[in-house]
Amino acid sequence: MLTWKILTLCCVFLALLWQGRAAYSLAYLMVVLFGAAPLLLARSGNRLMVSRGSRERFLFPGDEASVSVALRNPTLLPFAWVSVQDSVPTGLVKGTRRARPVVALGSRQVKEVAFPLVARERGVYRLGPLRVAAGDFFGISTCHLQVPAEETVVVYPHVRPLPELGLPSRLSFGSLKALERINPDPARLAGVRGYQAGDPLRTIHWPATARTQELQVKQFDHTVTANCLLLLDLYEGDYPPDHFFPSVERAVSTAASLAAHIIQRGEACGLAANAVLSEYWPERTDIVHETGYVQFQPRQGTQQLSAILLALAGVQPQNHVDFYSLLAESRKQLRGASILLWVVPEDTPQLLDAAAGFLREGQRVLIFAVERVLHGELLAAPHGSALQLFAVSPGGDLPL
Amino acid sequence: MNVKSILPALAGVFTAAIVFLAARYASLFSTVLFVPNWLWAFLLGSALESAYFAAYFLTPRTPFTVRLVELALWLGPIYLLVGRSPSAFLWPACLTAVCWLLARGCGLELSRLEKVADLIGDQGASTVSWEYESLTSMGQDELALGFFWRRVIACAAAVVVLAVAAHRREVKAAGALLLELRLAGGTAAASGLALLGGAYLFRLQTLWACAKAAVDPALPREWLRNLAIIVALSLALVYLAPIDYSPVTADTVGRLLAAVLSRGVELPELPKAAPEERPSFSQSGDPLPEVDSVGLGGIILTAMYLLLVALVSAVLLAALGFILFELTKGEIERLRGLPRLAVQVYAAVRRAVLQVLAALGRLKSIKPIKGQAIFPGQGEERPSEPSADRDSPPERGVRALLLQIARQAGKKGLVFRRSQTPWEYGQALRGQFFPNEEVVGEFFQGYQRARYSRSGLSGAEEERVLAAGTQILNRVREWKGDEKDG
Repeated sequence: MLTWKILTLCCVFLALLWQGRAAYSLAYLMVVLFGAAPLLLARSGNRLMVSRGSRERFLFPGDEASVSVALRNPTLLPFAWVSVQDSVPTGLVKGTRRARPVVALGSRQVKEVAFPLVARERGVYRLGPLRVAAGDFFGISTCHLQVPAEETVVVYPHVRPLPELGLPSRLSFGSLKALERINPDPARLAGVRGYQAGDPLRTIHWPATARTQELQVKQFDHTVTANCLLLLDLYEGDYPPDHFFPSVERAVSTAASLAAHIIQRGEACGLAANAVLSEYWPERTDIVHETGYVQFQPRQGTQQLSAILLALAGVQPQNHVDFYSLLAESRKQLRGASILLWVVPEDTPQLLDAAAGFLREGQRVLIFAVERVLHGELLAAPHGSALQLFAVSPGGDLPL
Repeated sequence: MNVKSILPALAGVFTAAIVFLAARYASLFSTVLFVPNWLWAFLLGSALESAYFAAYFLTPRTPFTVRLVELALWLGPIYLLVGRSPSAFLWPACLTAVCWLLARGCGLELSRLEKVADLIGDQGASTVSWEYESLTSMGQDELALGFFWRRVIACAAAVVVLAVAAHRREVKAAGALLLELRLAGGTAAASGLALLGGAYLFRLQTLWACAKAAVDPALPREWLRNLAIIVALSLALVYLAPIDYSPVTADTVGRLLAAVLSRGVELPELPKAAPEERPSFSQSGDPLPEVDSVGLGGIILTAMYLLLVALVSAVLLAALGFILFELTKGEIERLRGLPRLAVQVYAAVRRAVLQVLAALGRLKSIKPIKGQAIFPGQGEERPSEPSADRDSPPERGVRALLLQIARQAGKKGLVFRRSQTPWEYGQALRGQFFPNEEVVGEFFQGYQRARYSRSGLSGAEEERVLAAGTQILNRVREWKGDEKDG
């Protein structure tokens, strides 16, 4: 460019000396093209406004989405072309290459460009910064900007129906039939009987009354709700190195599926994991996460489910807190949680010893082995046993 | 939208307009060079045909005879139209051939632009950074469309030279001819700018296709619309902007130079010459000023004239140097004499401009540092930053002390060489002045910590290092001749 600027100066100098419309015209054009236009482009480029449509986005694996970026030119100078390049992580890129949209942006014009995404793997991803390049009409200069607009994309873990994980579809947790008949559970209809004096009117079963022409009242099961706590082992040393990532993903997916199953049944579920959260995990106040631990108090409701799924989207294995440390740490969380669901790679004898300690305290322990089952006899334990073992095998039986 | 289809047309119109303009201006100087109006159609037709043929059909394997036949198809009718007179045929034929060749070059360049694979080599599509490729095809100084820029500027410069020559010889174009010239000038400017903008779009489209960029389908349409607005504004600027307002023109400079030279020649003879014997070149007939009237003002004026002459000469030399530099691709060793001097002047101007730009850049970068110094304590709040470390007092003190030591020791024969590290210099210092003394080691270790470590020196350490440095400095100062210290 320097050569052309020197040439421009020569043209100006000669035009001033020689006079005449032709010489002045050439000098004017050179000054505009090589002097003023690059300066104007740089100034307008700095005033270019680039913004994202949203700050956070939540996807399930397989979902496709589109991230929009708005470009606004507040100046009178039109941009011949504006190219936007977003830093999209490989796990979210749709197709084989990252999109590089190019648009023309007129004066005071607003345009939107879209970056297609596909959620392939669980995780918390950060999009951005945006790299913007804009150019003039003659290839003389371009300006480059880096806009620190970022967007977090959370890809939840796979949530599968229990049969897909090789688990019994009628697996029930949480609400247990109470031995003492104190609290009738209106969600569990046990039958109908004839009305007796003192029965509350709201329990009258009107269809049965109409059919029998006598007042009939509903009878309910009496239950107590036992909170569930999912304990997820994400200690790196517990997983086989040869297929580490598939095993970890299966464990996370199992934990997510169990949490969804429990909470969708209206029961309370918490989560504790010896994991670290992704560096891009959005800051939330309803989760306790220290170095190596992620803990949620047992609660009911879809909000709790989305919080657990969000946490499971961001958990990553670590190598300094083992599962037994997690068990010891999470004893504090066990107030009111009487059913423990351990998602582990395999049921080692040490694990069963640890489970025995919890059984002595009156809690139920359900172990979900995602990699290998060592104690096959426990697979046949009767439903309702205090200690049960399940083999999670989405693609077939686990090796015994 | 296929931009390539309209680019040869623009190239043809531009070429024909330029050649027509040049021919019209040339005809102002001599009636022999007059061209008939019908030649305009031949110029345009030959340029369009040549540009389209080169852009779409011409290959290196096209037989040379085909090209000759192609040119002959345009020259044949001209020969017939001028009445089969070879002398009348020569000038129109020459213009048509030049037009045909110029348009051929543009068409060839368009076909070259399409061969993007030659440009980007074997890069994968995802690695093509077309934003950069579109601008820098050969080097930082080369525009993406260097060929078209050079062609357009050179053609415009040629026409400008002819127009200026006509203007200076006071050959006035009036009436229909003036209108013709203005129309042709406007057409040339508009088609030239449109060609440059369109060719750039074509180049980008080729690169976008290679890089698999997601281009907005409306982009070419918007591009051409905005380009049309820019071209219209440029034409308005060309026709409406004020001209001829410079107080310093070639005429005034020439007159001044003539006056200076005439004085320089005649001044020594003035006292001897009688009034009636004065030279006849003084057209006004006024007597030349007496020698005594020249005085200090005359000397200053003469110096200014000489300065102006030197400046004009330097600019002309720099312009010539620029042209030679471009032609020789920087291989100035081939040049001798005046061409070499011109290139050297150009290189010096270029270097000076670069230095000025670099100095401006440095000024810009210094500004924030000065701003930081306005707020006391700001550097202390961020001790981990390198800039804060560099400006911290211990480092300055220790570094300043090392400089003093090196200066003093240099006077005594132990020069701190550029190839030496401070530590190596310390070892040399110890060997020369302080054998078997730890004070040198202490100082230079402290210097390294102050200079390179992030933690720097604490107060007590700094005092120790400064004390050791002061001791070394004093010993070096006191050292005399070959006398061994200690």
